[in-house]
Amino acid sequence: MSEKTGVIVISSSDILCGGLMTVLARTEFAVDECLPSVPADTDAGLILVDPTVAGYSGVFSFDVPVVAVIHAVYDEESLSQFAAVLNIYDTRQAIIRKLRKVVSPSNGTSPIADGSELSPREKEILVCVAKGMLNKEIAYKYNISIFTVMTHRKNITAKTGIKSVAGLTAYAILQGLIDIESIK
Amino acid sequence: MTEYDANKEFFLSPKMKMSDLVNSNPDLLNILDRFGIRLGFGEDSVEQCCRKQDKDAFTFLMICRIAAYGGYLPGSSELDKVKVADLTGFLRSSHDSYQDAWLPELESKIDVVLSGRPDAQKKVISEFFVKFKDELHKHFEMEEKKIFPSLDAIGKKGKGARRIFKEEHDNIGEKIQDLINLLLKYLPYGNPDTCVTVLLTHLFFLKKDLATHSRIEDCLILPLLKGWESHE
Repeated sequence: MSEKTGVIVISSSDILCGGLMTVLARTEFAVDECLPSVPADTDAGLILVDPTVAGYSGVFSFDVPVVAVIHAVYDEESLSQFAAVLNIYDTRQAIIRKLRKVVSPSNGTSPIADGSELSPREKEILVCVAKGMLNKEIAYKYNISIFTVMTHRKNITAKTGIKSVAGLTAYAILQGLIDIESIK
Repeated sequence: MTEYDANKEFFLSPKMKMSDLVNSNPDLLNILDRFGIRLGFGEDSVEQCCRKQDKDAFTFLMICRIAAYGGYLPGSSELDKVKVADLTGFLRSSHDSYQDAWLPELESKIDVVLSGRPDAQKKVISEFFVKFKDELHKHFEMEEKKIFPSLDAIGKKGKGARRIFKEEHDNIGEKIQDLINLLLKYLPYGNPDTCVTVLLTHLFFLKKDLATHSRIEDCLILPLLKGWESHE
């Protein structure tokens, strides 16, 4: 087996830490240590965190993928900040598959930085979406590919937290990007 | 003895006091109401309480477990024991509680937040809400007309509806989150924030409750319909 990915587990539960160690034994993931709280620094390649640990969000300050390990019901929105979510009822195979996906080099998407505003192009695309234009119509208008339009739309949603067309339209009006009268 | 006993897994058991069940999981209070279990049960256990009120304790506890534990998924031997009439009764009454209590309450809170604001803001938010309400209403109607009857009749049809059903659950969750973000991030500062906070608190609770409701339906209805279809 080639190089192992060093993993730290942050949880105050011995059962959870021990369980993960057992599950990840004889895989390319090596659990280096289990900590009850977020450390000041780490050289691990992957962090598994139990979001019930107070102050867990400190883990996002490290430049390391962070995976949540959940054992109860959590709000989907707060789970969306993690690179993946392991549930304690996941099978061993599912856990390993999810972790592999997180550390694989093809997984190049990085989270959007805090407080990023929409770019001028994203605002133009948003106005088109609000007016009810289809992706291909938007692509034609700006002479870009449909794929690029989709990427812009994805980024708009990631920045605003708004997914539906109705919600994006409301956002565009509230932001003064579009006049309410111009919508139908 | 070796048989898997779901009641021994997860902490909710038919022998526990109904009052302990609620005190340890306050979110389950809504489930009692929608399952038709009236309060005032004194020291009765879950089993006794259900028997006295002519409700199926097994089905009730299964719903409670799905609501209380995100990772709980009933197996096929448990699904076989579900009393379908109690399940569909519960789901129908959940729909009623959203339409008759939750949504009107939400609407009146939105009215308070929007009062005295510029027309454009009023129009944007209220139109978004009206669309959401219509969508929810249509979704409930589809379930009540297409899905529940096929469950009640021990599953025929309902096949095509299944895909739509899951998709619609996702859409509903998205719309509520959109409304939360619009109010939280983009509605310009207007009247005192307290009323917006009250509205948001209500919305967060509704979001969680609707997500639980969808999860109960996804965990029970889909496998039940599937199981019955494969028997035919």
